[in-house]
Amino acid sequence: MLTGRDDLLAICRSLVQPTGLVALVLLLVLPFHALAEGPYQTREAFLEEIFSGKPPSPEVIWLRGEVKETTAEILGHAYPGIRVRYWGVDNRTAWVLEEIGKTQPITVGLVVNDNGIESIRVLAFRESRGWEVRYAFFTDQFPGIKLTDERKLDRHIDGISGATLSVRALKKLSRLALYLHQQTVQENDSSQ
Amino acid sequence: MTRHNKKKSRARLLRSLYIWHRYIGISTAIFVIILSFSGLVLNHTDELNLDAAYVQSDLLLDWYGITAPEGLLSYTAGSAQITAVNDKIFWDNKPLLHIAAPLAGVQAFGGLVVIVAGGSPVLFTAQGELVEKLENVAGVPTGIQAIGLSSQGLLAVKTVRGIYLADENLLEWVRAGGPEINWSSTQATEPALLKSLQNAYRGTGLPIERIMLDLHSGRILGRAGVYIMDAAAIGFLLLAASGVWLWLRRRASIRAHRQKTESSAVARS
Repeated sequence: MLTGRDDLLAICRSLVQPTGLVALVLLLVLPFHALAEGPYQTREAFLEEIFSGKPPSPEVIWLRGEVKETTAEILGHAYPGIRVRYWGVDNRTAWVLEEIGKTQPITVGLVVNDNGIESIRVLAFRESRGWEVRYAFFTDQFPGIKLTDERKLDRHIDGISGATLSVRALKKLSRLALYLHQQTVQENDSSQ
Repeated sequence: MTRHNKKKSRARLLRSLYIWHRYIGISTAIFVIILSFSGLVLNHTDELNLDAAYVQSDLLLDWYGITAPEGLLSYTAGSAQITAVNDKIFWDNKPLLHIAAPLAGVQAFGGLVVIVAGGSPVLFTAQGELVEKLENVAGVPTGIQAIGLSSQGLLAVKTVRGIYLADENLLEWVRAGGPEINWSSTQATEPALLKSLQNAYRGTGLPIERIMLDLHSGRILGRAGVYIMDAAAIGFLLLAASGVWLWLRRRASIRAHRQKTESSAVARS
Protein backbone atom coordinates (compact mmCIF):
# COMPACT_ATOMS: atom_id res chain seq x y z
CA MET A 1 0.00 0.00 0.00
CA LEU A 2 1.30 3.42 -0.93
CA THR A 3 1.69 6.03 1.77
CA GLY A 4 1.43 9.79 1.26
CA ARG A 5 5.22 9.97 1.23
CA ASP A 6 5.40 7.30 -1.47
CA ASP A 7 2.83 9.21 -3.55
CA LEU A 8 4.90 12.36 -3.27
CA LEU A 9 8.06 10.51 -4.25
CA ALA A 10 6.27 8.94 -7.26
CA ILE A 11 5.13 12.41 -8.41
CA CYS A 12 8.66 13.83 -7.98
CA ARG A 13 10.13 10.90 -9.91
CA SER A 14 7.64 11.40 -12.79
CA LEU A 15 8.54 15.12 -12.90
CA VAL A 16 12.20 14.28 -13.40
CA GLN A 17 11.23 12.40 -16.60
CA PRO A 18 11.30 14.62 -19.77
CA THR A 19 7.55 14.26 -20.44
CA GLY A 20 6.79 15.10 -16.82
CA LEU A 21 8.97 18.22 -17.00
CA VAL A 22 7.31 19.40 -20.22
CA ALA A 23 3.88 18.89 -18.65
CA LEU A 24 4.94 20.87 -15.56
CA VAL A 25 6.29 23.76 -17.65
CA LEU A 26 3.11 23.87 -19.76
CA LEU A 27 1.00 23.73 -16.62
CA LEU A 28 2.87 26.66 -15.09
CA VAL A 29 3.27 28.85 -18.17
CA LEU A 30 0.15 28.42 -20.29
CA PRO A 31 -2.49 29.65 -17.84
CA PHE A 32 -0.51 32.83 -17.12
CA HIS A 33 -0.08 33.65 -20.80
CA ALA A 34 -3.70 32.87 -21.48
CA LEU A 35 -4.70 35.34 -18.75
CA ALA A 36 -2.01 37.97 -19.40
CA GLU A 37 -2.90 39.96 -22.52
CA GLY A 38 -6.13 41.22 -23.92
CA PRO A 39 -9.11 43.35 -22.92
CA TYR A 40 -10.44 42.52 -19.45
CA GLN A 41 -13.50 44.73 -19.39
CA THR A 42 -15.21 46.94 -21.96
CA ARG A 43 -15.51 50.65 -21.30
CA GLU A 44 -19.30 50.34 -21.31
CA ALA A 45 -19.21 47.54 -18.70
CA PHE A 46 -16.79 49.57 -16.55
CA LEU A 47 -19.09 52.62 -16.56
CA GLU A 48 -22.19 50.49 -15.96
CA GLU A 49 -20.51 48.95 -12.92
CA ILE A 50 -19.17 52.21 -11.54
CA PHE A 51 -22.49 54.02 -11.81
CA SER A 52 -24.67 51.05 -10.78
CA GLY A 53 -26.09 50.48 -14.26
CA LYS A 54 -26.94 54.16 -14.87
CA PRO A 55 -23.89 55.96 -16.27
CA PRO A 56 -24.44 59.70 -16.68
CA SER A 57 -24.02 61.49 -20.00
CA PRO A 58 -20.37 62.06 -20.91
CA GLU A 59 -18.79 65.48 -20.42
CA VAL A 60 -15.52 66.86 -21.73
CA ILE A 61 -12.63 68.89 -20.45
CA TRP A 62 -10.59 70.86 -22.98
CA LEU A 63 -6.82 70.82 -22.66
CA ARG A 64 -5.81 74.37 -23.34
CA GLY A 65 -3.19 76.75 -22.01
CA GLU A 66 -1.97 75.81 -18.52
CA VAL A 67 -4.07 72.62 -18.36
CA LYS A 68 -2.47 71.39 -21.58
CA GLU A 69 1.02 72.20 -20.28
CA THR A 70 0.42 70.51 -16.91
CA THR A 71 -1.01 67.43 -18.62
CA ALA A 72 2.12 67.17 -20.76
CA GLU A 73 4.26 67.63 -17.62
CA ILE A 74 2.46 64.79 -15.81
CA LEU A 75 2.64 62.39 -18.76
CA GLY A 76 6.09 63.42 -19.91
CA HIS A 77 4.68 64.05 -23.39
CA ALA A 78 1.76 65.86 -24.99
CA TYR A 79 -1.66 64.24 -24.55
CA PRO A 80 -2.86 62.92 -27.94
CA GLY A 81 -5.76 65.31 -28.40
CA ILE A 82 -7.10 68.44 -26.77
CA ARG A 83 -10.38 67.08 -25.40
CA VAL A 84 -10.77 64.43 -22.68
CA ARG A 85 -14.08 62.69 -22.04
CA TYR A 86 -15.29 61.87 -18.52
CA TRP A 87 -18.43 60.82 -16.71
CA GLY A 88 -19.36 62.58 -13.50
CA VAL A 89 -22.05 62.80 -10.83
CA ASP A 90 -21.69 65.28 -7.95
CA ASN A 91 -18.05 65.19 -6.88
CA ARG A 92 -17.35 61.76 -8.36
CA THR A 93 -15.87 61.35 -11.85
CA ALA A 94 -14.89 58.36 -13.98
CA TRP A 95 -12.12 58.48 -16.58
CA VAL A 96 -10.98 56.06 -19.25
CA LEU A 97 -7.41 57.01 -20.12
CA GLU A 98 -4.60 55.44 -22.09
CA GLU A 99 -0.85 55.56 -21.69
CA ILE A 100 1.88 53.64 -23.44
CA GLY A 101 3.69 51.16 -21.20
CA LYS A 102 6.60 50.22 -23.39
CA THR A 103 5.21 50.19 -26.92
CA GLN A 104 1.46 49.61 -26.62
CA PRO A 105 -1.23 51.67 -24.85
CA ILE A 106 -2.67 50.42 -21.55
CA THR A 107 -6.35 51.35 -21.17
CA VAL A 108 -7.22 52.21 -17.58
CA GLY A 109 -10.52 53.09 -15.94
CA LEU A 110 -10.21 55.42 -12.94
CA VAL A 111 -12.78 56.74 -10.51
CA VAL A 112 -12.02 59.90 -8.53
CA ASN A 113 -14.15 60.81 -5.57
CA ASP A 114 -13.67 63.97 -3.55
CA ASN A 115 -10.16 64.57 -4.98
CA GLY A 116 -8.96 61.07 -4.11
CA ILE A 117 -8.73 57.88 -6.13
CA GLU A 118 -11.70 55.64 -5.42
CA SER A 119 -10.70 52.78 -7.72
CA ILE A 120 -8.40 52.00 -10.61
CA ARG A 121 -8.84 49.17 -13.06
CA VAL A 122 -6.86 48.00 -16.10
CA LEU A 123 -9.44 47.58 -18.88
CA ALA A 124 -7.07 46.48 -21.65
CA PHE A 125 -3.43 45.49 -21.67
CA ARG A 126 -1.71 44.91 -24.99
CA GLU A 127 1.91 44.21 -24.12
CA SER A 128 3.55 40.89 -23.38
CA ARG A 129 5.07 41.98 -20.05
CA GLY A 130 3.88 43.86 -17.02
CA TRP A 131 0.28 42.64 -17.02
CA GLU A 132 0.52 41.98 -13.25
CA VAL A 133 -0.56 45.61 -12.75
CA ARG A 134 -4.13 44.50 -13.38
CA TYR A 135 -4.28 42.45 -10.18
CA ALA A 136 -5.80 43.67 -6.93
CA PHE A 137 -2.55 43.23 -4.98
CA PHE A 138 -1.25 46.20 -7.00
CA THR A 139 -4.39 48.28 -7.71
CA ASP A 140 -5.51 48.07 -4.06
CA GLN A 141 -2.68 50.48 -3.20
CA PHE A 142 -4.42 53.35 -5.01
CA PRO A 143 -7.77 54.01 -3.25
CA GLY A 144 -7.56 57.10 -1.07
CA ILE A 145 -4.50 58.52 -2.81
CA LYS A 146 -4.59 62.26 -3.44
CA LEU A 147 -2.47 64.77 -5.33
CA THR A 148 0.12 66.88 -3.51
CA ASP A 149 0.68 70.55 -4.33
CA GLU A 150 3.54 69.44 -6.62
CA ARG A 151 1.03 67.20 -8.45
CA LYS A 152 2.62 63.98 -7.19
CA LEU A 153 0.82 61.08 -5.50
CA ASP A 154 0.71 61.65 -1.73
CA ARG A 155 1.54 58.03 -0.94
CA HIS A 156 4.24 55.61 -2.11
CA ILE A 157 3.19 52.88 -4.54
CA ASP A 158 5.16 49.64 -4.36
CA GLY A 159 6.41 48.60 -7.79
CA ILE A 160 6.42 45.17 -9.39
CA SER A 161 9.72 43.79 -10.63
CA GLY A 162 9.56 43.23 -14.38
CA ALA A 163 6.60 45.60 -14.73
CA THR A 164 8.33 48.94 -14.09
CA LEU A 165 6.97 50.67 -17.21
CA SER A 166 3.40 49.47 -16.63
CA VAL A 167 3.55 50.61 -12.99
CA ARG A 168 4.88 53.99 -14.12
CA ALA A 169 2.06 54.31 -16.70
CA LEU A 170 -0.62 53.62 -14.07
CA LYS A 171 0.92 56.11 -11.64
CA LYS A 172 0.99 58.78 -14.37
CA LEU A 173 -2.64 58.11 -15.27
CA SER A 174 -3.65 58.33 -11.60
CA ARG A 175 -1.97 61.72 -11.32
CA LEU A 176 -3.63 62.81 -14.58
CA ALA A 177 -7.12 61.70 -13.49
CA LEU A 178 -6.70 63.45 -10.12
CA TYR A 179 -5.48 66.63 -11.82
CA LEU A 180 -8.25 66.64 -14.43
CA HIS A 181 -10.82 65.96 -11.71
CA GLN A 182 -9.57 69.04 -9.86
CA GLN A 183 -10.03 71.06 -13.05
CA THR A 184 -13.60 69.84 -13.53
CA VAL A 185 -14.41 70.76 -9.90
CA GLN A 186 -12.90 74.23 -10.43
CA GLU A 187 -14.82 74.65 -13.69
CA ASN A 188 -18.08 73.64 -12.00
CA ASP A 189 -17.41 75.96 -9.05
CA SER A 190 -16.67 78.91 -11.34
CA SER A 191 -19.76 78.27 -13.47
CA GLN A 192 -22.03 78.23 -10.37
CA MET B 1 63.68 17.30 -53.89
CA THR B 2 66.94 18.93 -52.82
CA ARG B 3 67.05 21.27 -49.86
CA HIS B 4 67.69 24.21 -52.21
CA ASN B 5 64.63 23.41 -54.35
CA LYS B 6 62.44 23.01 -51.24
CA LYS B 7 63.56 26.42 -50.02
CA LYS B 8 62.92 27.96 -53.45
CA SER B 9 59.41 26.49 -53.64
CA ARG B 10 58.59 27.74 -50.12
CA ALA B 11 59.80 31.24 -51.09
CA ARG B 12 57.62 31.14 -54.21
CA LEU B 13 54.59 30.09 -52.12
CA LEU B 14 55.27 32.90 -49.66
CA ARG B 15 55.61 35.41 -52.47
CA SER B 16 52.39 34.16 -54.06
CA LEU B 17 50.60 34.44 -50.68
CA TYR B 18 51.86 38.02 -50.33
CA ILE B 19 50.46 38.86 -53.76
CA TRP B 20 47.08 37.20 -52.95
CA HIS B 21 46.95 38.96 -49.60
CA ARG B 22 47.54 42.28 -51.33
CA TYR B 23 44.90 41.65 -54.04
CA ILE B 24 42.29 40.46 -51.53
CA GLY B 25 43.04 43.51 -49.38
CA ILE B 26 42.64 45.95 -52.28
CA SER B 27 39.46 44.33 -53.62
CA THR B 28 37.72 44.15 -50.21
CA ALA B 29 38.78 47.64 -49.07
CA ILE B 30 35.61 49.23 -50.45
CA PHE B 31 33.47 46.70 -48.54
CA VAL B 32 35.35 47.43 -45.32
CA ILE B 33 34.55 51.12 -45.80
CA ILE B 34 30.86 50.42 -46.59
CA LEU B 35 30.40 48.00 -43.69
CA SER B 36 32.24 50.21 -41.19
CA PHE B 37 30.30 53.32 -42.20
CA SER B 38 26.86 51.64 -42.28
CA GLY B 39 27.63 49.73 -39.07
CA LEU B 40 28.61 52.90 -37.23
CA VAL B 41 25.48 54.70 -38.43
CA LEU B 42 23.20 51.76 -37.53
CA ASN B 43 24.65 51.62 -34.03
CA HIS B 44 23.29 55.14 -33.47
CA THR B 45 19.95 54.91 -35.29
CA ASP B 46 17.98 56.33 -32.35
CA GLU B 47 20.29 59.28 -31.75
CA LEU B 48 20.39 60.10 -35.47
CA ASN B 49 16.61 59.60 -35.76
CA LEU B 50 17.13 57.57 -38.92
CA ASP B 51 13.75 55.82 -38.79
CA ALA B 52 12.03 59.21 -39.09
CA ALA B 53 14.33 60.73 -41.74
CA TYR B 54 13.37 59.89 -45.28
CA VAL B 55 15.22 59.53 -48.56
CA GLN B 56 14.34 62.26 -51.07
CA SER B 57 16.46 61.06 -53.98
CA ASP B 58 14.32 60.17 -57.01
CA LEU B 59 16.99 57.71 -58.11
CA LEU B 60 16.80 55.71 -54.87
CA LEU B 61 12.99 55.94 -54.64
CA ASP B 62 12.73 54.63 -58.22
CA TRP B 63 15.29 51.90 -57.42
CA TYR B 64 13.05 50.76 -54.51
CA GLY B 65 9.95 50.99 -56.72
CA ILE B 66 8.21 53.55 -54.50
CA THR B 67 5.64 55.19 -56.73
CA ALA B 68 2.75 57.37 -55.65
CA PRO B 69 -0.69 56.29 -56.87
CA GLU B 70 -2.43 58.16 -59.65
CA GLY B 71 -6.05 59.38 -59.79
CA LEU B 72 -6.56 60.25 -56.10
CA LEU B 73 -9.89 61.29 -54.56
CA SER B 74 -10.27 63.92 -51.83
CA TYR B 75 -12.92 65.01 -49.32
CA THR B 76 -13.41 68.71 -48.73
CA ALA B 77 -13.93 70.05 -45.20
CA GLY B 78 -13.96 73.85 -45.02
CA SER B 79 -10.76 74.96 -46.71
CA ALA B 80 -8.99 71.62 -46.18
CA GLN B 81 -8.71 68.72 -48.59
CA ILE B 82 -8.49 65.29 -46.92
CA THR B 83 -7.00 62.55 -49.05
CA ALA B 84 -6.04 58.92 -48.48
CA VAL B 85 -2.87 57.88 -50.29
CA ASN B 86 -2.55 54.13 -49.80
CA ASP B 87 -2.42 53.65 -46.00
CA LYS B 88 -1.72 57.29 -45.15
CA ILE B 89 -4.20 60.13 -44.73
CA PHE B 90 -3.19 63.67 -45.63
CA TRP B 91 -4.60 67.01 -44.47
CA ASP B 92 -3.86 69.03 -47.61
CA ASN B 93 -0.27 67.84 -48.15
CA LYS B 94 0.54 67.18 -44.47
CA PRO B 95 0.37 63.55 -43.29
CA LEU B 96 -1.91 62.94 -40.26
CA LEU B 97 0.13 60.88 -37.82
CA HIS B 98 -2.61 59.63 -35.51
CA ILE B 99 -4.87 57.97 -38.05
CA ALA B 100 -4.62 55.52 -40.94
CA ALA B 101 -6.74 54.47 -43.90
CA PRO B 102 -9.33 53.32 -44.82
CA LEU B 103 -10.96 56.72 -45.04
CA ALA B 104 -14.76 56.45 -45.01
CA GLY B 105 -15.72 60.14 -45.07
CA VAL B 106 -15.03 63.65 -43.80
CA GLN B 107 -17.53 66.16 -42.44
CA ALA B 108 -17.09 69.67 -41.11
CA PHE B 109 -19.32 70.14 -38.04
CA GLY B 110 -19.58 72.81 -35.37
CA GLY B 111 -16.12 74.27 -35.92
CA LEU B 112 -14.55 70.79 -36.00
CA VAL B 113 -13.65 68.43 -38.80
CA VAL B 114 -14.73 64.82 -38.28
CA ILE B 115 -12.69 62.26 -40.22
CA VAL B 116 -13.83 58.64 -40.27
CA ALA B 117 -10.63 56.57 -40.35
CA GLY B 118 -10.47 52.84 -39.72
CA GLY B 119 -14.23 52.81 -39.04
CA SER B 120 -14.15 55.30 -36.13
CA PRO B 121 -14.60 59.08 -35.98
CA VAL B 122 -11.61 61.26 -35.18
CA LEU B 123 -12.12 64.93 -34.36
CA PHE B 124 -9.81 67.70 -35.53
CA THR B 125 -9.90 71.46 -35.24
CA ALA B 126 -10.38 73.42 -38.46
CA GLN B 127 -6.58 73.93 -38.43
CA GLY B 128 -5.87 70.19 -38.35
CA GLU B 129 -5.04 69.76 -34.64
CA LEU B 130 -6.20 66.45 -33.14
CA VAL B 131 -9.07 66.97 -30.69
CA GLU B 132 -10.20 63.46 -29.78
CA LYS B 133 -10.05 59.95 -31.18
CA LEU B 134 -13.38 58.22 -30.70
CA GLU B 135 -12.08 54.73 -31.32
CA ASN B 136 -13.54 52.24 -28.80
CA VAL B 137 -15.14 55.05 -26.80
CA ALA B 138 -18.21 54.04 -24.82
CA GLY B 139 -21.39 54.88 -26.73
CA VAL B 140 -19.68 55.81 -30.03
CA PRO B 141 -20.65 53.58 -32.99
CA THR B 142 -17.91 51.50 -34.63
CA GLY B 143 -17.56 50.16 -38.15
CA ILE B 144 -18.66 53.45 -39.69
CA GLN B 145 -19.12 53.30 -43.45
CA ALA B 146 -20.14 56.89 -44.23
CA ILE B 147 -20.57 60.27 -42.55
CA GLY B 148 -22.80 63.20 -43.41
CA LEU B 149 -25.30 65.78 -42.19
CA SER B 150 -28.98 65.18 -41.51
CA SER B 151 -31.60 67.59 -42.83
CA GLN B 152 -31.74 69.00 -39.23
CA GLY B 153 -28.03 69.75 -39.40
CA LEU B 154 -26.96 66.91 -37.06
CA LEU B 155 -23.91 64.79 -37.68
CA ALA B 156 -24.88 61.34 -38.95
CA VAL B 157 -22.93 58.14 -39.47
CA LYS B 158 -23.89 54.94 -41.26
CA THR B 159 -23.00 51.49 -39.88
CA VAL B 160 -24.25 47.97 -40.65
CA ARG B 161 -26.54 48.33 -37.60
CA GLY B 162 -28.15 51.49 -38.99
CA ILE B 163 -27.77 55.27 -38.93
CA TYR B 164 -26.69 57.11 -35.77
CA LEU B 165 -27.06 60.82 -35.04
CA ALA B 166 -24.73 62.69 -32.68
CA ASP B 167 -25.59 65.56 -30.37
CA GLU B 168 -24.09 69.00 -31.02
CA ASN B 169 -21.00 68.28 -28.84
CA LEU B 170 -20.47 64.87 -30.44
CA LEU B 171 -20.72 63.22 -27.03
CA GLU B 172 -23.85 61.07 -27.35
CA TRP B 173 -24.93 59.06 -30.37
CA VAL B 174 -28.43 57.70 -30.86
CA ARG B 175 -29.78 55.36 -33.50
CA ALA B 176 -32.19 57.09 -35.87
CA GLY B 177 -34.99 55.59 -37.99
CA GLY B 178 -34.37 56.64 -41.57
CA PRO B 179 -33.52 60.32 -41.68
CA GLU B 180 -32.60 62.09 -44.87
CA ILE B 181 -28.81 62.39 -44.92
CA ASN B 182 -26.47 64.27 -47.19
CA TRP B 183 -23.45 61.93 -47.13
CA SER B 184 -19.98 63.35 -47.66
CA SER B 185 -18.51 62.48 -51.01
CA THR B 186 -15.20 62.63 -52.81
CA GLN B 187 -14.07 64.51 -55.85
CA ALA B 188 -10.96 64.19 -58.00
CA THR B 189 -7.94 65.71 -56.24
CA GLU B 190 -6.88 69.04 -57.71
CA PRO B 191 -3.81 68.68 -59.98
CA ALA B 192 -1.56 70.93 -57.82
CA LEU B 193 -2.45 69.03 -54.64
CA LEU B 194 -2.13 65.69 -56.45
CA LYS B 195 1.43 66.52 -57.47
CA SER B 196 2.27 67.74 -53.96
CA LEU B 197 0.73 64.59 -52.39
CA GLN B 198 2.63 62.32 -54.73
CA ASN B 199 5.87 64.04 -53.72
CA ALA B 200 4.91 63.97 -50.02
CA TYR B 201 4.00 60.27 -50.25
CA ARG B 202 7.22 59.34 -51.99
CA GLY B 203 9.14 61.62 -49.65
CA THR B 204 7.90 59.68 -46.60
CA GLY B 205 8.11 56.23 -48.12
CA LEU B 206 11.72 55.22 -47.59
CA PRO B 207 13.44 55.78 -44.22
CA ILE B 208 17.22 56.24 -44.25
CA GLU B 209 17.47 53.40 -41.73
CA ARG B 210 16.19 51.02 -44.43
CA ILE B 211 18.92 52.17 -46.84
CA MET B 212 21.60 51.69 -44.17
CA LEU B 213 20.35 48.20 -43.31
CA ASP B 214 20.26 47.23 -46.98
CA LEU B 215 23.68 48.77 -47.59
CA HIS B 216 25.09 46.77 -44.67
CA SER B 217 23.57 43.46 -45.82
CA GLY B 218 24.06 44.12 -49.55
CA ARG B 219 20.30 43.85 -50.18
CA ILE B 220 20.37 47.30 -51.80
CA LEU B 221 21.51 45.41 -54.93
CA GLY B 222 18.91 42.69 -54.49
CA ARG B 223 19.83 39.00 -54.21
CA ALA B 224 23.12 39.59 -56.08
CA GLY B 225 24.15 42.15 -53.44
CA VAL B 226 23.81 39.55 -50.69
CA TYR B 227 26.12 37.16 -52.58
CA ILE B 228 28.61 40.01 -53.16
CA MET B 229 28.63 40.70 -49.40
CA ASP B 230 29.06 36.95 -48.77
CA ALA B 231 32.08 36.95 -51.10
CA ALA B 232 33.45 40.04 -49.31
CA ALA B 233 33.02 38.30 -45.93
CA ILE B 234 34.93 35.26 -47.24
CA GLY B 235 37.58 37.69 -48.51
CA PHE B 236 37.86 39.17 -44.98
CA LEU B 237 38.36 35.69 -43.53
CA LEU B 238 41.07 34.89 -46.10
CA LEU B 239 42.68 38.26 -45.44
CA ALA B 240 42.75 37.62 -41.70
CA ALA B 241 44.10 34.07 -42.13
CA SER B 242 46.76 35.02 -44.70
CA GLY B 243 47.72 38.10 -42.64
CA VAL B 244 48.27 36.03 -39.49
CA TRP B 245 50.14 33.34 -41.44
CA LEU B 246 52.44 35.89 -43.13
CA TRP B 247 53.13 37.58 -39.81
CA LEU B 248 54.02 34.25 -38.18
CA ARG B 249 56.28 33.31 -41.12
CA ARG B 250 58.01 36.66 -40.98
CA ARG B 251 58.47 36.41 -37.20
CA ALA B 252 59.90 32.87 -37.55
CA SER B 253 62.32 33.95 -40.30
CA ILE B 254 63.48 36.99 -38.26
CA ARG B 255 64.04 34.72 -35.25
CA ALA B 256 65.95 32.19 -37.39
CA HIS B 257 68.07 34.95 -38.89
CA ARG B 258 68.83 36.39 -35.44
CA GLN B 259 69.78 32.96 -34.09
CA LYS B 260 72.03 32.39 -37.11
CA THR B 261 73.83 35.72 -36.66
CA GLU B 262 74.19 35.12 -32.92
CA SER B 263 75.63 31.61 -33.39
CA SER B 264 78.05 32.81 -36.09
CA ALA B 265 79.14 35.64 -33.79
CA VAL B 266 79.77 33.12 -31.00
CA ALA B 267 81.74 30.90 -33.43
CA ARG B 268 83.81 33.85 -34.61
CA SER B 269 84.66 34.84 -31.00
